[in-house]
Amino acid sequence: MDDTLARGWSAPFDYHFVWRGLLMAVLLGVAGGLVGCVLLLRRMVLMADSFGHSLLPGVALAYLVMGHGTPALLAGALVAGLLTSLMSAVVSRLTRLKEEAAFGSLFVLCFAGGVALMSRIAAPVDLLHLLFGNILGVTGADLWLVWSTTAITVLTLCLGYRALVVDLFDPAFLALSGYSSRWTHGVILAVVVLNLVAALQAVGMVLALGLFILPAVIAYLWCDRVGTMLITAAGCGGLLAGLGLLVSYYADLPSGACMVGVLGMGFIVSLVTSPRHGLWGAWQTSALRARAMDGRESAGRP
Amino acid sequence: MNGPDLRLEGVTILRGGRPAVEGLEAHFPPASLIALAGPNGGGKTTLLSALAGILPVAAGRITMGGQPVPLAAGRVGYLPQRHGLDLDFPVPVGSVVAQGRLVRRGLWAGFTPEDQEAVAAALGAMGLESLRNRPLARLSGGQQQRVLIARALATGAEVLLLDEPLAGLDEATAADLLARLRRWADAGHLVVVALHDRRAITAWCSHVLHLNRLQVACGPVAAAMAGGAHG
Repeated sequence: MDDTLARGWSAPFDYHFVWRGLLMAVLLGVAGGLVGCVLLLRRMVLMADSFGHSLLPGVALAYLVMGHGTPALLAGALVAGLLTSLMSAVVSRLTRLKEEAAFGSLFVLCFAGGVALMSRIAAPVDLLHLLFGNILGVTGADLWLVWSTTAITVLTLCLGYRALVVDLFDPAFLALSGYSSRWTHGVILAVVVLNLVAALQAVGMVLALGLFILPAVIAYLWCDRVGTMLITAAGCGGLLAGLGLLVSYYADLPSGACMVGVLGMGFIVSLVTSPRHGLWGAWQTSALRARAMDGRESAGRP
Repeated sequence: MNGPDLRLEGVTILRGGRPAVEGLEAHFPPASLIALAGPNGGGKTTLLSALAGILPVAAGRITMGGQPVPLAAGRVGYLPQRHGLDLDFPVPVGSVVAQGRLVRRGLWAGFTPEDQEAVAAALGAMGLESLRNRPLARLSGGQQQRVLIARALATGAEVLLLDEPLAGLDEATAADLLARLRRWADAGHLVVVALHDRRAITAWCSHVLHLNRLQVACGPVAAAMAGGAHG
């Protein structure tokens, strides 16, 4: 009986595609956590969400020209990402619109165009695949893309760490120190696009942001240093995304939703229990304050 | 006295195509703590931005230590009033101050004992030694202001430009900050600070430049204030 149960639990590990999916989930969680920290500290989370959606027309056109496949996806997404960020930079510089408003307006327009294009050129299942992903259906080429993306993300953060931290905290000071913020901004956008493309096959466009932002907010709720925040986000991103994939297998639920769901549980637990920056911490601080006020009042009484 | 002086010769600076300050003529010796006084919109922030090399001078000339502005990166520390920084940023005090060494050490080189000394001296000058490992977010507004000034000092700057650094500080904290700035200026540096508080100017500053688009008064504090110029 016990043997059958153990066999049942370990059954997924007999399949090559499960191992591949698991590895991909862990790598995406690690890289996503790192990118998420940068987006969170740069207050670019919502912009990145719009940015993700704007890649769709590029992906659709690449699909039309080059067919289905990782190189096509990557090329289409990169071109779309570059063009839309360039357009929003031009609009915000030449008109009254701030960059955030330009981003939001242009990107939702791109997304609508992308959906229309996809409905013309691809089967609905392809569109759904891009929007919500399927990590257990990924190919060896997809896995290579994720490996490279994770390696590039880690390497970029290690090499650019000093400039990045100053830029995230105070871009004006970076400029006064003789370095342009434009470079860091460009590198951040490129790494975000790369990670979005890498996450596209696995969790889809809509849920990719969850892989980025949830590990980052978990780490932000626990850490007081950028370095420890990055390591914590990468660690819990990889761990919880992997766990989510296994949950999806056992519960027979969509993989992207499960990965983001498990990360979301981690976020809720952190939100409640973090002693300094969570609800528990806030409750303790207000209780301490109330006690101090009571003490002062009773000391003032005759 | 060693250290840079500050000279303004017929300086006009434009904002939105119009002169925000016009025809400024002044000279301040080294080791001065100079107050920029005057009403809001009088041109204090504009002049500070030009001294920092962020805004161009439309006419005239600004020199510090005989060199025209902008000076080389790292020679001038500038703290704008609306810095818009996220003071909840997860970084300890020591790391913020160490950011000042970026200009000397570059993006990849490791810190040398000279850098450690500069950071320790800057922390000491602003009375932050005991807070070195504390997260920035857990400091008071006055302490956070001192951390940002310490970072500017750690660059090895000879000139410090501060726009309304006393905003939001109580009287005792403001006096403590001005006393520290005065000590730093007395050591041969130049501090230019936009201030509103007439009492603070009289108590701590050596010179004052009173602006209301045009130059209203200028010179050592006692003489300029006696002439009716104040902020």
